[in-house]
Amino acid sequence: MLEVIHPGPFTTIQDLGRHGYQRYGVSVTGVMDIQSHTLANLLVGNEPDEATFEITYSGAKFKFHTSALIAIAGGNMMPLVSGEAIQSGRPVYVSAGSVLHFSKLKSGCRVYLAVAGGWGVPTVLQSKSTFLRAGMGGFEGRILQKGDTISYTTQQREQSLSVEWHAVSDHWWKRDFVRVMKGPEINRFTSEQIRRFTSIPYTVSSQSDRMGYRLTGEAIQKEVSEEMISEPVTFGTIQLPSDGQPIVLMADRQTTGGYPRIAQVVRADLCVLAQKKPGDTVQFEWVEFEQARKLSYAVHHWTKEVQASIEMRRKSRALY
Amino acid sequence: MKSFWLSEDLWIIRFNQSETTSAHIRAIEKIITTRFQDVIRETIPTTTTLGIYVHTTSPRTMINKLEHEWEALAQTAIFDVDHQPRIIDIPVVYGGEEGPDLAFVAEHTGLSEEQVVEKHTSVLYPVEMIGFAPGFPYLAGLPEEIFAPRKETPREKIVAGSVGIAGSQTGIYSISTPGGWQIIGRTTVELFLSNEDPPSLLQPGDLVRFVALGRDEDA
Repeated sequence: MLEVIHPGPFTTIQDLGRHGYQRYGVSVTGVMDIQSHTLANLLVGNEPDEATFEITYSGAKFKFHTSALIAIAGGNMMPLVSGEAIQSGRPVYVSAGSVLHFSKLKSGCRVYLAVAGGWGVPTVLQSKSTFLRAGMGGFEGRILQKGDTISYTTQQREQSLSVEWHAVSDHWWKRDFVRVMKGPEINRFTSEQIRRFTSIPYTVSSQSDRMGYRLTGEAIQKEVSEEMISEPVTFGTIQLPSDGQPIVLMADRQTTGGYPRIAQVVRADLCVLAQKKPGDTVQFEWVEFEQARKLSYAVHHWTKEVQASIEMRRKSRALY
Repeated sequence: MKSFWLSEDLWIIRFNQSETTSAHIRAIEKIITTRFQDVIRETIPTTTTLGIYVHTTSPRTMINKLEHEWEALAQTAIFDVDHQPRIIDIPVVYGGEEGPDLAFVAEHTGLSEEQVVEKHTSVLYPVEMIGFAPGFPYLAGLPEEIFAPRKETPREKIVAGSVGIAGSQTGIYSISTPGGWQIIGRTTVELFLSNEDPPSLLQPGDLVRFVALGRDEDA
């Protein structure tokens, strides 16, 4: 059993999202940084769609009442196990009574904590993701609080993976440029506005959360504001409301939206945004749709390779 | 009709608003999802579009097939003219604490509060789509006499069950959330069923009938 000693400012349980219910207005939710979440899961032998903790900013503290195999990936929050620094991107065996402390945010914004076998929360509509707005999924549909206890499968040291394995976990997101492709309403903007959109960096505003990132910078306003009928929107859709400051829709977005969609963040780069905190800057860069799709397939292949490589090490260890 | 990729995995078919009904969109949705069930992860019908999510790991050849064949397939979509839509009654207590903006709507439209209620309960509203919040229905067919603009400043919290008007639309808040619609009444019927699958009381294509309740009756 895990006990929350300090939940940190914003910690939720998320998997790869609740798919299949958007037609009923149910947001997909799920992790913000798909690659880091996937890596944390793979390192402990889980499937990529198992649920992890998504810890935002810093300051969380958890006690493991029984031994466990865990992995951390994503932002760097100086993790300590019972006072000793541990590394991200590798499986770590923690003995019964250990305290895991995320002390200080050094880079990124979100960290993912996976446990071998997954966190023991119920599956609701085929997912363990927390949908905060509707109070469903995850741990009682809410952010974690002090005193919450969550079950997991106890692991003995012999069962745990080789600690020699280490994967670089930050090369996916440690940069400031975010590749985007043209959105369906791009023709509503002038070529000068389209050029400016990628020529100057935008700052992530303090009004940014799991639903969307509000960016401040170059305002791209249209002379006439047109009413739009709501159409589907997705993770990474960049809308431009009438004030001309872009909003990037993130994991907890609504299923449909009515603002002009100037651009769409390529799937492979969503993690770059997910690891930005208010005050950080991003610069957009246009790519073609075909390029975006190639990048997306590359992420899929990377996942398969990491999974195969970990499985191989595990098998070869079992031989000796 | 026009179709385009919004993202690597979301493909949108936009229908000609004047020529397509939501029943038509649903018939096309059904035939496409049946034919391409291995590729399609989920679909979202909206008032004028059909959003199709494909699995990001689908083989490229299958995605190309969907892109090239959907239009011909759509032509063969049959709609069942004899299909009787479900009619769902929503009992509502109008005005007062439950409907704080009924007076505004009356003033705006030049009608009495009773006349606004009478108009609002006079028609069957087709559910065009579910969106904005889980189980929240977008209803078509609001009588023009009671169109009313959104509030200039949205309320921080609108309780679940609130019945509102925004422009030419009427709807029911399915969960408690901030919102800018003019609230004219409230129902105790639950629209978002978090423990059921599907989790929504209403489905696109249903017809909603509002029934006015007296203040002492149990809404």
